Amino acid sequence: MKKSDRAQRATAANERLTLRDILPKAFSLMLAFALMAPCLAGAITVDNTTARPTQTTVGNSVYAGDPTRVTWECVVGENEEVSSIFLQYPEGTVFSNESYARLTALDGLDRLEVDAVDPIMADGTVRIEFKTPLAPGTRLRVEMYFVALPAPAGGVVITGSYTTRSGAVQDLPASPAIEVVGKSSADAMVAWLDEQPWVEKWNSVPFLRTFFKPQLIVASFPSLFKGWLRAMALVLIGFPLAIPLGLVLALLKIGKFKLTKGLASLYVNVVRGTPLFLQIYIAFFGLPLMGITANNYVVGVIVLAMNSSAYLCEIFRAGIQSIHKGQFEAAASLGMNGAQTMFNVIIPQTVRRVIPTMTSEFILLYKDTSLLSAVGVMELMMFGKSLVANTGNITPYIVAACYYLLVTLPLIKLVNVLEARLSGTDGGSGGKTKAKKARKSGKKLLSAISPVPLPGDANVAQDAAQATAEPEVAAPAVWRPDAEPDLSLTDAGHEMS
Amino acid sequence: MTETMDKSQTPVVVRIENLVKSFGDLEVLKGVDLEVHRGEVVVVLGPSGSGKSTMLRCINLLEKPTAGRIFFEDQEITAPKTDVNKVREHIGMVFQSFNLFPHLSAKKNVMLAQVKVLKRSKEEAERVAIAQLERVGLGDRLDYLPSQLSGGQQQRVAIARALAMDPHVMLFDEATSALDPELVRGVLDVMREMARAGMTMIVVTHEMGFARDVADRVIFMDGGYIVEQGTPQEIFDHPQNERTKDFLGHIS
Ligand SMILES: Nc1ncnc2c1ncn2[C@@H]1O[C@H](COP(=O)(O)OP(=O)(O)OP(=O)(O)O)[C@@H](O)[C@H]1O
Ligand SMILES: [Mg+2]
Repeated sequence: MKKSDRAQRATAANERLTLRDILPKAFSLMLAFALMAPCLAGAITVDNTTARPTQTTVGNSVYAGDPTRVTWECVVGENEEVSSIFLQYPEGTVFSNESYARLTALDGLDRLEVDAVDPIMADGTVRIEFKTPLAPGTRLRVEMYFVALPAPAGGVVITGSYTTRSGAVQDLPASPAIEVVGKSSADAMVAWLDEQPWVEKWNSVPFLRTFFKPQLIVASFPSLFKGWLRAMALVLIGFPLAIPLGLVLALLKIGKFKLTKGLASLYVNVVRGTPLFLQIYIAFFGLPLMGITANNYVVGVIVLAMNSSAYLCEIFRAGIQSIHKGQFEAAASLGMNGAQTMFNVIIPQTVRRVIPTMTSEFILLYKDTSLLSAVGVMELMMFGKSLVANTGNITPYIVAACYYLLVTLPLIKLVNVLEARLSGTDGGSGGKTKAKKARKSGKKLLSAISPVPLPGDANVAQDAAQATAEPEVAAPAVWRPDAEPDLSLTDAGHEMS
Repeated sequence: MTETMDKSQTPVVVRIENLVKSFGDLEVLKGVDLEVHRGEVVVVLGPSGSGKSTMLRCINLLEKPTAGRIFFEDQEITAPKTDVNKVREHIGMVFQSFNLFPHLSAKKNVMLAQVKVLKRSKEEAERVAIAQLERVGLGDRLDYLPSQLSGGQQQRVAIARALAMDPHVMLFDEATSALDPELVRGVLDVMREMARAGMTMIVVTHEMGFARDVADRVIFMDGGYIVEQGTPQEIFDHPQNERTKDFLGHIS
């Protein structure tokens, strides 16, 4: 009964916020004005409401269900004295037996004695009775500790009512909304893990605690998910852009025109001969200096695509050149011209052959998105980095590794399957009776293509670039969480522009 | 005998004049002269490395002659501004290694150049493809991929592919050499049938039986020259040149 009463009052208060209630409100105000004009001249104002986590953990965000300190402030109107205040929290608010409220009254800068009964906190309401009513103009601050807030849409709004000395009951203006972050099941899981004896034992081993802290594993997965999506977006946009670029480069390189041939080779050699890390720096710091400001992700995608196109060019070129010369001759002997031969005979055959190596290149590019973290592009590595900086623990990197493996392991498996299938069926000549020979020659053929573009060989340079780049990027963040040289460099880059 | 006489009266399809072809310092063809008349079947014999393939490949310009002239019908195809692809439309070639397009079915293999080069409609190309594949005995393999066909069947698809272009001359470069013995016959039967139907053919082969039965003229090449030529009887039964005798002795 009590509860429904409060709920009604709460909804009534909430409704005051909405536009369609302005008219009735105005009407009731006029009525009240007529009855007790003196009290209304300066009604109470609620001007400040804040919340902070009681136990300072990471950041200032207030999480639903976490013990929180809520501060609520009001100023008593010029012509009224307040003898009691009733605060109403939204549904879902939980007080524990640790909860308590502290009252502070101020007159200007002077602190006043508060003569009040201990505030009663129960069922999401706080009742404050003043033995001596608050004088007009007094600022009252109510600090409520160990409040577990819900996370309603639009934030937590505290409403309620107050009683004036003359006994009139007035609604309190709704407080400013408090932003509350909804608590996920992961958070609940972390809380549960915190209690488990085996987790404590586990964490007492330095190695396990540093790399595999269960709480951080659980907490990192949802946080890194966004980073994973961004890394995926980078590679899923960048790689398809690299494919036509790489094909054009390959055709130019194979082609007859000396100039375009030379330019294509130059481009491919320069891109393959320099670390992607360096290319990223050149693009991210060079463009702003030229007065070009572009979205980080756009620049990131372009650099990745341009880099990958050079590798794809070599893959395509090797693929095209691995096609038996008999295929070109057969097409030529039928009167087909170069373009007809290329697009109808050679490229369709090349596609099958290069899919495994292209997949390998995709894997490399996906991993290389991590290099963009060095210039502040928010992706998986960067998310991991900031978590590591915040927690001083390596576990988020391990979780990031899981996210990389989530994609790369199935693809590696796929490459193996595709390669096996390719070497099994690709016999352009020789028939069923020579099936075995055909299979063997297929394998030979494959190994003839592979040496150039496979990760084990030509892309070693790229791998190496990554290997040397990563420690540079990651190490400082691990050992000196507040010193992030790469980020500051980014800032410098932006300032320069 | 009269038949041979008849053929030498027909128009010349291919004429080679003093053809020289070198690969770097290696002079493979040292001056070859040859005339092939319409409907004639010319079989080219010779030891390995004597330049048989090279001569054949010069005829459809897969190799660029170093010197000499080649005429196809009335056109000098060795002239500088020749439209090579146009010339090749009418010169069919069958390779030792079949060279089917492995990603296309038998029917599509035969259709591709018809559509792309001769600009035939898909329907017409398909009709021709089916007819040609039936002609080589593969009417029931239209949708098979090359990898699903035996070598002999693949070579017959390759022949159908060339025939679909309505060639004025067909070049065969050891069309049966890559085949298992039991598959050779099917291909040779197809070639025999083509010869009977009046196709002009230049055939490089080691199949002496075929040469004896089908050839109107046999040419013996050695060391970059045509050393001897004549009817099969003349070459096989009464070879004049020592090297011819030597070669035939080794073969049979
Ligand atoms: N593209 C090439 N580059 C260099 N040398 C070549 C090339 N093609 C052929 N030759 C050489 O020319 C010579 C003649 O070759 P060709 O293939 O015409 O001989 P062939 O009479 O067909 O022999 P086979 O019976 O073995 O096929 C050989 O010595 C060969 O090595
Ligand atoms: Mg040869």
